[in-house]
Amino acid sequence: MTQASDDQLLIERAQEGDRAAFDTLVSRYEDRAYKYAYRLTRNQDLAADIVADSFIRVYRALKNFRGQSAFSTWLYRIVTNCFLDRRKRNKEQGNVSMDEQMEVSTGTISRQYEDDGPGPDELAERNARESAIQGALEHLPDYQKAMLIMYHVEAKSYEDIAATLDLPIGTVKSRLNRARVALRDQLDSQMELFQIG
Amino acid sequence: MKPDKARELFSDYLENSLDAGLKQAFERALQGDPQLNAEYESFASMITSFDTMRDEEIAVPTDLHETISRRLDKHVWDEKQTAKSGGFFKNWRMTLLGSAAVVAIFATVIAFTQNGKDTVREAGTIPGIRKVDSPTTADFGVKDGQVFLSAKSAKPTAVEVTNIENGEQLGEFNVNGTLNSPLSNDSENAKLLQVKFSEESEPLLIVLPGKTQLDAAAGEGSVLELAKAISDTYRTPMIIRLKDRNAMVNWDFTEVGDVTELASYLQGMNLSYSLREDNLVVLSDNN
Repeated sequence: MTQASDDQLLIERAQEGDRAAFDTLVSRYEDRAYKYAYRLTRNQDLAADIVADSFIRVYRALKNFRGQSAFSTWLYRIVTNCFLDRRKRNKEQGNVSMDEQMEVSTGTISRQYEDDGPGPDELAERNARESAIQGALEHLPDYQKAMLIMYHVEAKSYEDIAATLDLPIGTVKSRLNRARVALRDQLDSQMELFQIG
Repeated sequence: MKPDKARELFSDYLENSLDAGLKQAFERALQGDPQLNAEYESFASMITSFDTMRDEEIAVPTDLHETISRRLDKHVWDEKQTAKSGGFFKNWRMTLLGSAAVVAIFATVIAFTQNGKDTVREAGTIPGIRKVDSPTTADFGVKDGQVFLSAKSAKPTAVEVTNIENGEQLGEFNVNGTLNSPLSNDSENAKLLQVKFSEESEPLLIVLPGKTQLDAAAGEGSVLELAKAISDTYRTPMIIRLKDRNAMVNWDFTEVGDVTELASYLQGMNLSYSLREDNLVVLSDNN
């Protein structure tokens, strides 16, 4: 049985009120959802909160899910929307900016590589680049940030992103292009980090 | 090719999505301009660095599943409690204007007046009143910012008011003459209200904004949830006339300005957002 058909069975059972089936879906996708939410927020508590909110939205809307897209695509859409909603609410309420809560220290990132990876100098350079990118991402519109992370970090295809955001593929491509240019502009003063040689 | 034009094509070149002619022109521009070439190399390096971030190992909290389950349990419990306690009644402002007998049934939900008995309050001009099923006519209207349910019936007709989201029946009463009932929503969120006349098959639907302007400008869900989001965001009551209430949609009107822009935006979703003579909005299918 494929993952998709297995998901479909769980969804059907959950739609009939089987909570255990829903819990199995949660178990199957919670890690992936959390990692995506964390990449968007760089904050553990906030990421967990967004994922919990997302699964509540899934629970509430599941009866209307007709399998037009894969469950994972639908979940990504909901996590993205939860993130966008949260950001907008925080901005309107004048809450502490998530920028200040970002966990982007090189110390955190330096623990993310295995021992057989690059040497210390190269690692330090890589950390500096990634920190610069993380910082620049925070200055992009949230929608651009989500698209860039989906494509470059989550390795989603244009087709997947189009399905997730319910946009035509051409629009996804053009928006991603604009987002990359915006990212480059944000990094303008730090481009020496990315110079070759 | 000028450097500025070439810079615009960095991303497309990297993606190998330029057509052959443009690709050649771009490469000639890079070869002829060392500064531009260095900029492109930096850009490509930036994208490569970005791509390597997918290797980042992110530790998932050990209690994540428990956190989600706890929140879900609370959500399910809250829903059940709301259904049990009739919490929706508490959200509706009581406006006593009419027959005591009917108010006893309908107390905290809506209030109304009926012709021929106690207080009579004219409905005023409510354009667009539509025939439901002879001899009863019913419609929503608005006057001085107050939404009304208006109905006329030559014979006793049962009316049922329901919270469409949880199916909770809010009241049932008989109209015999003229009903003119103010409707208000004192809860935080927009609410969907269904009014059904026993003699008709198609119920009337309205969404009323809550007390607070909420941020619901981006989201996904059924068209009814979209209607609530519009009501929450634009603070407007709205009559709903949709064939498929369960159709799933995504919306994002964060960059949509006033209601004129909103109408255009909804047009793109095959929905019609129109203003009646009495300034009451109608959301309907675009056909």
